[in-house]
Amino acid sequence: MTAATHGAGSPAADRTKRVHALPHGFVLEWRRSRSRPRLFVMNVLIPLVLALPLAVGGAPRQHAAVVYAVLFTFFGTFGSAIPLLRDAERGMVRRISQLPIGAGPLLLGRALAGAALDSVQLAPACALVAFTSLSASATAWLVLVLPLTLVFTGLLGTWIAAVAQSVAEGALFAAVTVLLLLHASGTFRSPSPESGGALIERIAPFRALHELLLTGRTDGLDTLLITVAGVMVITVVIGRKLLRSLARADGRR
Amino acid sequence: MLLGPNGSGKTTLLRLFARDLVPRAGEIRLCAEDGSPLPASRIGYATDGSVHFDELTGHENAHWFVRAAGGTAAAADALLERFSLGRDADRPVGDYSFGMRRKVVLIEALAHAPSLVLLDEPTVGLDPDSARTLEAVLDERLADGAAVVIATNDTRIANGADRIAFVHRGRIVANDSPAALLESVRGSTRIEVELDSPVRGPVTAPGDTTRVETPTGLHFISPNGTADLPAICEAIVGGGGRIRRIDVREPGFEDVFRRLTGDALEDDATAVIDEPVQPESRRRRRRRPGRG
Repeated sequence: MTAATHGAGSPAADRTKRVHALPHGFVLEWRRSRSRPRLFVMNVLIPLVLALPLAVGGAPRQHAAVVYAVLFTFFGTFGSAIPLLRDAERGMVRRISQLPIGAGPLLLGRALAGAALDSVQLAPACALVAFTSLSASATAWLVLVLPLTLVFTGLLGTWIAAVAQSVAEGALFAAVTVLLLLHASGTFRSPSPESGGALIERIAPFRALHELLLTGRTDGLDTLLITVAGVMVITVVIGRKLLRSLARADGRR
Repeated sequence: MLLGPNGSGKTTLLRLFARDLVPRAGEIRLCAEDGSPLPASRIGYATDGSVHFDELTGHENAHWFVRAAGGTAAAADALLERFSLGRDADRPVGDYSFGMRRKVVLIEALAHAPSLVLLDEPTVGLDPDSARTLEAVLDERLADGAAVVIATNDTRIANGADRIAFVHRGRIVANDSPAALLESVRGSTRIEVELDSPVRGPVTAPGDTTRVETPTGLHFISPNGTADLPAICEAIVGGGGRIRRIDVREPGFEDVFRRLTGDALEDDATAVIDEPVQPESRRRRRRRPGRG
């Protein structure tokens, strides 16, 4: 074997092509999901089984709306954070972080693919919820609000995974963060008008989903749109830091 | 070629070159021939691991990584064929053996025709045919003007290197051509004589030859190659010893390393690299090593 350390070629000899990281990340997640049909089926059936007794059992609407909101937001956040941490723990994220590809767009592409998959997997459960408790117009809005919420939870899961150092920590952080955000969104109780809680509720990202499931109204949709756009931009900007932070979960310095 | 025992710092150095780590002090400049900074897309780095997306096939893994590095799926397919993975490329990588996974790692590092190839222990897990294929692919990269840096403790692959750097406890202790390094230990042929019965009388080593007694026989370090062998045998037989086996070993890179460091090349697991580097994100905050 011959090894050398002489010159490294000139830029003119550069035959590499620039890769668009966002579709590259999207395609990766889509393919990985396609190659795990059992997991896909489980992800369809479990939300359906959880929603079924509420939908057909005549549960009070305010209770049912809370459970649906918790179910959908946990589904999105855990579904993003846990697989990412598992990849990180086995060194996959470190390998990806060594690639000459935009880290932020890659993570965004992954989150968008995750949101699209989550939307498909939650569709039967959402259809059941819509059929039993939502008007036609609210159902139409749900088709917009749920994927947007899932994009937010997907990116939230990415951020949480970057902060956590293990799957167990990630699960804990995800649960606490989502529950706090749900609480801030007025999911568990309605804050009194003009209070600080009411102000926070107006800017909380999960309000749109909960309001839609509870009342069929689209209150909070503008906040959700702005939040999702903002989180997407921030993810792209700090993507390299997120990826490097994630890569540390494999235990190497 | 970076040669050194386990834990000596070879992988750390490669990770620095690959920009996976940032040096705590100083800087590393990787330049093209015209002096411009070498873009990351022109570096091909194969780690010593074999991590992949296990649920995806060999094709899908290779295509994804090669495209991410700026290469083409056709180039990845061509290397899959050359490394005899064409027939298995549609199986999930999770079903692959360690050696097959290692080959996919190498393909992913090489298929985009990088100008700087960084390989960490590239021959680990490879069968002889695949090792020859790797050698041929690297020769093509070299002919194309690329630089190849290999970290290994396998001295068998070191002979063909243009330069060898010995790494010991985080430091480069020698950096020269193989011939120049071997020159430093020329004249220290090791003659190992295994005995069936011990020599009764004294055995005098001829000339400048050094004699070392071992539990199973006698070792001689001769400055004259095998020229002293007849005299050694004569002395042993004359002293009543019965020779079972004679091994003659010409000095190699292990001997160079031992001469330079006083340590063996095989293992240096106790070596401590005094935290020379840190990941970029660690510059601002450090975490406790414990995890939940």
